[in-house]
Amino acid sequence: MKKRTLTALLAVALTLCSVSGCGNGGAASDGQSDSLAEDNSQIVENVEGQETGLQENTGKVEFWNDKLASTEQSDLDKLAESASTASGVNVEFISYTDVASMRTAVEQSIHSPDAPGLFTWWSGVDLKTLADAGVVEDLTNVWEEYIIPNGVPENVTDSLTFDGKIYAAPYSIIYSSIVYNKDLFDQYGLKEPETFEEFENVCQTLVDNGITPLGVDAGNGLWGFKWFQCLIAAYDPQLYLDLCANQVKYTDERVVEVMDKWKEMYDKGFFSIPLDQTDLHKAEASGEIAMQEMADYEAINLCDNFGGGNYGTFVMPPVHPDTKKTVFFEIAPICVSKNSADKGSAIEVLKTWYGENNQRVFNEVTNFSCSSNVESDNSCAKEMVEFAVDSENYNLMLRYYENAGNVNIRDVAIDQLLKFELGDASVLEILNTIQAKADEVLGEGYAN
Amino acid sequence: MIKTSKKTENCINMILITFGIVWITPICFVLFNLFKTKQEYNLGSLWELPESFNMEIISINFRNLIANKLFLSFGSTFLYCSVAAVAGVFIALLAGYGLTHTNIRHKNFWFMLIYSGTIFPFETYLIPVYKAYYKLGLYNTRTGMMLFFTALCIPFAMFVFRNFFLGVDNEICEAAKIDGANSWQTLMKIMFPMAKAPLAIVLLQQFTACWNNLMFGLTFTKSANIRPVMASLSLLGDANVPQLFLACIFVSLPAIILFFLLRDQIVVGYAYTVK
Amino acid sequence: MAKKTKNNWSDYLYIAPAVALVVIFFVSSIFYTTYLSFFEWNGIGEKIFVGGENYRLLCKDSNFLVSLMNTVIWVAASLITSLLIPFVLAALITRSSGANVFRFIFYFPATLSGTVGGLIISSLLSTYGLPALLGQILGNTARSNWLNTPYFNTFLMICAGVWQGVGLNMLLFIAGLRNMDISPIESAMIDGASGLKLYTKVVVPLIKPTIIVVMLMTIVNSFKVFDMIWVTTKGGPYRTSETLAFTMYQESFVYSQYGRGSAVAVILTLIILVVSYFNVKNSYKNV
Repeated sequence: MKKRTLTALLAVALTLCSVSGCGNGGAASDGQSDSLAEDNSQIVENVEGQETGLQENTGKVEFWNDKLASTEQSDLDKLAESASTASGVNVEFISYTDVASMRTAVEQSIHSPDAPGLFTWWSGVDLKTLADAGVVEDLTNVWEEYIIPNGVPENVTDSLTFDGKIYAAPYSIIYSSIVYNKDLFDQYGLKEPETFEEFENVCQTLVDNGITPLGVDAGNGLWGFKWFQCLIAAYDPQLYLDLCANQVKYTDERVVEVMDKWKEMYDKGFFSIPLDQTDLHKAEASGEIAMQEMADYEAINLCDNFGGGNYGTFVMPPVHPDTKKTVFFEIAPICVSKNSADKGSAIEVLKTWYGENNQRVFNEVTNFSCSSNVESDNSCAKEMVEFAVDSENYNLMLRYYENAGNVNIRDVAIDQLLKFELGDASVLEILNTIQAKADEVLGEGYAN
Repeated sequence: MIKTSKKTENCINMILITFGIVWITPICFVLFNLFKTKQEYNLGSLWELPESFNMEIISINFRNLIANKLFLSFGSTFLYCSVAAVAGVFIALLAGYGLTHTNIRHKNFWFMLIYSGTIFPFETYLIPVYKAYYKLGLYNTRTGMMLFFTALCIPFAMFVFRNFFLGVDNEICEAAKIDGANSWQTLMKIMFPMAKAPLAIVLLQQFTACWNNLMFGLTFTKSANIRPVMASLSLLGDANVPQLFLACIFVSLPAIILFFLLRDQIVVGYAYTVK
Repeated sequence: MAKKTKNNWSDYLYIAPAVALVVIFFVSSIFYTTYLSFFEWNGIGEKIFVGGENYRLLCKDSNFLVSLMNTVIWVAASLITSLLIPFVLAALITRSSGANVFRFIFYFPATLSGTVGGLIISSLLSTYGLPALLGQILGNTARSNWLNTPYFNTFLMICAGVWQGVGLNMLLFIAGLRNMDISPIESAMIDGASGLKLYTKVVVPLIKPTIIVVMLMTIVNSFKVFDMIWVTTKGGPYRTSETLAFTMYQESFVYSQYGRGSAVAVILTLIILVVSYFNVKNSYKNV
C-alpha cells in the first residue's frame, strides 16, 4: 500500500517535472523549442515571399532600448511623437535598465514574430552574433538612401559591417576628446597645446601649481584604455590600428616606448587616481583636476549639471608634428529584427529617423547626435563633431573597446591597464600578461 | 522575559541609541538631500546641508515624478505583491505544517526540494521562465507576475514555518486529535493562531522582497501599466539624485506601512505558553 | 510520531502546492541551466555541445579562482555580521525600554529598495564620501578611492551590507527570544548566571531553531551576493571583487557566454546544496 502510494506520488512528481520541462523549454524538449522558433521564422519568410519583397507596414513598432533611463517622460513623449509623425508609424519605446533583462527579452524573442521591430544593441561581438545568426535585417540600402544623405558620416559603418552588409543603424555616434577647465587654464595663462611637448608643459605647469592635470576614469572597470589609446595614437596612429588588428604584439618595442612615456608622466604626477565619472566631474568642476578624456555626452553632463563653469576641448596633439591628431568614436547600434511582424514599419521609421527635425528632437532629449545637420547647443560637443568631420587634420578611429580584434585579449588588456593605472603593476608586467593571453588565443607565431 | 535592572536597562538604552544614530544617519542625509537641486547635489557631498530648506524643490520633484508615471503601476504592483505574499505564505504555511505534523514520508527529501528554491542563483530563472511564459501566453500579464512572485515567496517562508512547527510540541496535536479534530482543524484552530509572529515577519519580508524586485518585473513584462513600480523607479536613473531619493521614499511607503500594521504581531508570543 | 503506520493520502495535499510551484519554476530552471552548461551558446545561435569543456576551462581561469575565494570570504564574514550583530541587537532591544522605536530604526533600511540603498552606500564609500570626510578630519587632502583597492573593497562592502542587512534577522531573533521557554532562564538566574554567560549557556541553545534559520539563510544569501557588488564596484578593479554569483552574471549577460555562466551557476548551486544539506542534517539530529 505504502509503496504504491509512493510510486503514484513519484509519477505525479515526474509528470509535473516533464510538464514544466516542456513549458520551460527545459533540457529534454529544448531541441523542440528551437525547431518551433525556426518554424515561426519560416512562416514569416513565406509571407514575405508571397508579397514579392514588399514588406507589410503594420503601422506600429516597438523600440526596445537600454538607453533611455534618466529621460523625462515628457521628453520621451516628444521623441515618440516626432518619430511617429515623421514616419507615419506609431513608435512605442520600451526601456530596460538591466542588462540581463534586456538580453533575455531580446535574445529569447528574436526568432519569433513578437521580436521588437527596433532595438538598441551593443556593437562589436554582440552585433556580430546577431548578424551571424541571421536574425537582423541588412540595412545597407537604408544607409545609402536615407542615412548617409542625412549627414551621418559614412566612415563609421565599418564597425557595423559584416561580410559587406551593414546590419545596424546608429543610435548614437559618440566622439571623445580632452575636455579642460577653461578657468583653470586662464588662471595659469595656459593655451590649448598644439604639440605633444606643449601638452607636457601644460601638465607640468599645472602640477607645479598643485593641480592634477589629467583625470583617470575607473568607472565600471571598463575605461582603463582611455589614455592608452590616446597616447598610442599620439605616437603613431597606424600602431594603434595594427595593435587592434593584432598585427603588432603588445610587447612590441614601440608599445613599450609609449607605455614608458605613460609611466614617466605618471611619475611626474600628471594623472589622478582612478575615480568614478561623477567624482571626476566634481573634481574638474571644482578645479582639483584640469582635464579629462571624455565622451561628448559626458561633456554636456559636466557643463550642464556641475555648476556651469567654462570648458573647452582639444585633441591630444601628436608626438610627430607631421601626423594627424586622432579623435576616437564609439557607436551604439539600432537593429531591425528580421522575424518581427513589425519589420516593415520598423524600416519606415529608420528611413525618417535621421531627418533633421527628428534628429534635433533626439539631440534635445538624449544629448546624443548622429547627423552633422544638427548642431549641439553645447560648445564642447559641437567642437568634437567638427574634429570628427575635419578629415584633413584629424583621424577618426573606433575606440579600443570595439576596435580590438579579439574580445578575450581586450578584456585582459583593459583589466591590466587599470592595474597599471592603480599602480599595482609595472609596464612590463602588464604587457607580458596581455601578450601571454594573446599568444594563448592566437598562437605564439602571430604578428611576426 | 529576562528581568532587567534599571541600571542595565539604561546602559542598554545608551548602547542602542548610539547604534541607532549610526543607523539613521544615512536616512537623515537622504532627507536633507531632498531639499537640494540637482546641481547642488552633484557639486557637494551627501552630507553637506542644503543651502535652504526650500519646499518648492520637493514639490517640483513630486510633480515630476507624477509626470514620469512613477505611480502608474502602483496599484498593479500592490496587487502582485499582496497576492503573492499572502498566497505564497499560505502555501508555505501548509507545507511547513505538512512537513512536521503529518504522516508524510521522506520529509527531509521534500523539505530539501522546496528549500532548494532559495539556493539557485536568481539569474538562472530568467531564460527558462521567459521562454515558458512566452509560450503559455503569460508573458506581460498580471497573472504571470503574480504566479512567479508567489512561487518566489514559498521556499523561505516554508523554511521559517517548518522550524517554528518543529518547536511546537507534538502533544498538542495529539491532544487535539483526541478531541476529535482532524489535521486540517488542528492546523487552522491551533497551529495557525500560534504562528502569528513568524507569519507576520514572513509576510512583511516577502512583500518587501517582491516589491523591491527589479529584474523579474523588467524581464517578464513590457507594458508600462503592467511593469512593477521598481521598473519605473529604475528608469528615473541617477541623473537627478534628490528626485530619485524622493521617489524612493514614496515607493518604500507600502513596506513601511505594512511594518507598522504588523508591528505588534511580530513580537507576539505563543498562545500555548500562556495556557 | 506515534502513529506512523497509517499513511494518509490527504497529508500530501499540504505540500503539493508548494512542491508543484517550486518544481515548475525553480527546479526545472536549474535542470535547464545544467543542460546549458555542457554547451557553448551565445544566446541566439546554435548550441554547440562541448561536454565538460566549460568546467575544465573554469578550473584553469584565475578570475574564477579569485571569485571563488571572494565568495568564501563573503560567506565567512557574513556569518559574523549577519548572525552576531542582529542577535546582539535583538538581545539588547528585548531588554530596552524603547523596543518599538529601536525595532523600527534598525529595520527601516531593509524596507528601502536596493537602488536607493546602493546609491547611499556607494556615495558613502566613493572618493568624496567617507574617505574625503576622514581626510578632512585628519588633515590629509590627498584623494583616495577605497573601492578601487583590491580585496580591501570586499571587506568594505561586507560592512556596508550590514546596514541594510540586519533588519530581517533581527526581527527573527526578537521573535525567537520572545517565544522561548522562560523557565530554564529563570532557574539559571536563580543559580546566579548572568550577563554574557546567561546568553551563551542558556539562551543560545533555547533559540537554536531560529539560529538555524538565520544561519542557513545567511549562508545562502552570502553565497548568492550580487546586488551590493553590482552597485559599488561592478566586480572591479580588474575583476578582483567578483563572487561566484557575480561571475555567473558577468559571463552570461555581459560576455554572453551562457555555457560558461551556467557552469558557474551549477558549481555555485552544488556548493550551496552540499553546505545546506550538512547543516540541515546536523542541526536536526538532536531536535
